[in-house]
Amino acid sequence: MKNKLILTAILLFSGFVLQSFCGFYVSTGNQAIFNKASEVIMVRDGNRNIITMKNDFQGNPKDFAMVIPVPVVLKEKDIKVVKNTVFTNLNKYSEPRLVEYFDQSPCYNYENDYKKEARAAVAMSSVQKLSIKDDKISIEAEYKVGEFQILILSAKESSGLKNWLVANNYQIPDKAEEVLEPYIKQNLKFFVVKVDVEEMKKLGRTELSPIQISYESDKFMLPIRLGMANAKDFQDLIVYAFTKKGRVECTNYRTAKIPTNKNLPLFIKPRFQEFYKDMFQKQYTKTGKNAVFLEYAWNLSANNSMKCDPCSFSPPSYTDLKDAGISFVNYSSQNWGIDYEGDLFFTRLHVRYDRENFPNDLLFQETPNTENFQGRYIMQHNVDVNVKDCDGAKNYLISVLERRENELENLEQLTNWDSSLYSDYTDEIKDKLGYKKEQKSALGFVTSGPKNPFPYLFTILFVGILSLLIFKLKNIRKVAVSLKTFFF
Amino acid sequence: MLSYLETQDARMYQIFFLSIFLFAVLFLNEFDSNYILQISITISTCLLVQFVCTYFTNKDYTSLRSAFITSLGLSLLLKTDDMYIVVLASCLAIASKFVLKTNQKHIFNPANFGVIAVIILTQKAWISPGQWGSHLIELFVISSLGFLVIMKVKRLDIALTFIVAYGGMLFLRTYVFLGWPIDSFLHQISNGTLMLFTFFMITDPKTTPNHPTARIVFAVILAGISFYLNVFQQFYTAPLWVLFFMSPFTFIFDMIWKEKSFTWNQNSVQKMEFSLIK
Repeated sequence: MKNKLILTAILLFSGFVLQSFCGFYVSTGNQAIFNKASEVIMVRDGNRNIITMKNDFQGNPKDFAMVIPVPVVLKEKDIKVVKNTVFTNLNKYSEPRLVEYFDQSPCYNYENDYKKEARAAVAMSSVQKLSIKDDKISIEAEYKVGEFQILILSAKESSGLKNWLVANNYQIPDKAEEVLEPYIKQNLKFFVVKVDVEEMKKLGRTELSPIQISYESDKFMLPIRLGMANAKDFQDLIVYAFTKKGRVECTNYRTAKIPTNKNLPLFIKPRFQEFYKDMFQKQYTKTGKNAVFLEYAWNLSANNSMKCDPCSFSPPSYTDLKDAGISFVNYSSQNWGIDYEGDLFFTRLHVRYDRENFPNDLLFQETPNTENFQGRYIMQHNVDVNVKDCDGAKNYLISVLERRENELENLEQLTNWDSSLYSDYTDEIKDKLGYKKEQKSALGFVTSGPKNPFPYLFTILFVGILSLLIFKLKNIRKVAVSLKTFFF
Repeated sequence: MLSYLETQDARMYQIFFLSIFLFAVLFLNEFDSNYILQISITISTCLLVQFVCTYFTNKDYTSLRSAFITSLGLSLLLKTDDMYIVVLASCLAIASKFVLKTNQKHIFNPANFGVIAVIILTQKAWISPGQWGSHLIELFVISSLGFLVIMKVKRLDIALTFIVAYGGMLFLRTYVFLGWPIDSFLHQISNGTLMLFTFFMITDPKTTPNHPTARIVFAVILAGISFYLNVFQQFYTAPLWVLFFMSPFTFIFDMIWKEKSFTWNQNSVQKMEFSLIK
């Protein structure tokens, strides 16, 4: 009988392959902003690594399969399944948030309802029963964990592994070999996961559980290269990292902060998700498409009483932390509403990667940086007054108008949305002030193109060097001669 | 041979180019106010300490230029969220030049010493090898090379030997042995911190061996150890640490290969400088 399998290969670093999870992401309850994103929880304690990968696969479970390269032959106790809720909770807790303020009564709450939106991009192929015929492949171990059947393979040659995967009807891209070979040379094992549908029914599960693996390694990384071999398009990966000391940052790509604490127009509320996506896309392009973005960083140590500000969701509980594989916090019932004790730092990173711009796996380091950070966007509600209502009303309305103009400018700068389309937003206040309506073109909002500073910097530098050289023209010949004498 | 350019103090060009990089990094960080504060504290502390130390020693105030270079290097390399650590690093960096020295040479590169010392002492500072965007690296390489060419590079040998040895080993490992595509290697070698280290730190004439052969041997050893630590021990800031621990042994290289030591005063050392270029 033919099974349909989806090859989702996540390469987790010196150990694992984190894949490009095909399919769309639907969480129970609110929809996440980036529904195509894979999610990974990384816990790092000395050389101990615990990696949890959330599978957002939404098709028939019997169609699911995943290939993950691992550094060692994992023991059965090193592999387990955890509840999906830990990802949902962490995502809700750390997602970029829109906050509201009200003039005169400065209380705030947050708004977090993202609209549903789903797109599916699934690579499917029919697959025959897993069988081992090639002697270049050997099964190191075979386990049943939760609803999953797991095989750990070792290969001597990439062609052997590729043949095996092809023979078992995994859809392997042509370029996979360029990635498989280096991993095999680094002596990685490959673990192949598929779903036991009977077992899943027996366990009463309706969606696939995240798989958690733990291992000892001095490498702190996520192998994204294997997953990339599959995808033509870019992929989003959200990393939730837990350490004892401080922030996690990428060491081989730039870790950039997402713009934060920006005032936005009020009409952004129902379109916040759309806004954030466009802003992220703009930042991604602006940073050269090869940066890792910091979306959230917070000191979650028990002795830090403020676990978020404002909280978009309750901070992770002891149960969540245990599910994430954190062993360095202990349960404590009497800690001011926090049910654990110990030092803990949480970092959320967002990577949009593709083959072209990310030639290497992601390497990380833990820094002593304990500064908190969040993506926070502000709406400031004005009070509905008219000029005649009181003495101060006119000045107040003028300040509201200025504020709204700034908000539109922010919006345009962050997303490239054309702010002239939203002139109603300022006209409303202008009407109240009795200003004459101006032509749209006279509003002062000129659509600006993307502002990439580098061409200007290069030009300035080039002109600088050129003028220096021209100024020293007499010496160039001498410099050239001396260089020639030096080299030859 | 001696042109107008050569009569200029090399340090002025170093200041010029390092300032451009610093400005570009600031631009990348969108003029983050904390970073501006850190830079201001670093520069003012370095200049102040240098001034005080110079006042009580040889009163050669052109050395303020060196202190300025050190402060630019510190601003580019050191990451911390505590400003007192910035002050500490700046003081240690400059003080090391006056305290830790033998035969007119500094034992440690001041910026290197400042960064590594605060990391060891406070555990609250770090180096971000990934802080440079790819665009910045292009800028960096181009202008570094421009700098080196214009300056006729008194220490081109050590920089080139290091980058060729390190890059060569990385190439053999990544591309030839493991079989990664070539862009994997290019991405690893074009790291901004590595470039800064190669072209602006190990080229410091006050801390590297005096004899060209000694410098080449020094650079190869430095590259070998750094490569091992980086690739096999996941120690991504290895070159900075290796330089720190190798610096005290520079005198051994100077004993084996004898050569006059370098001074920034051009007139007294013209001969030595161009001994390379023959």
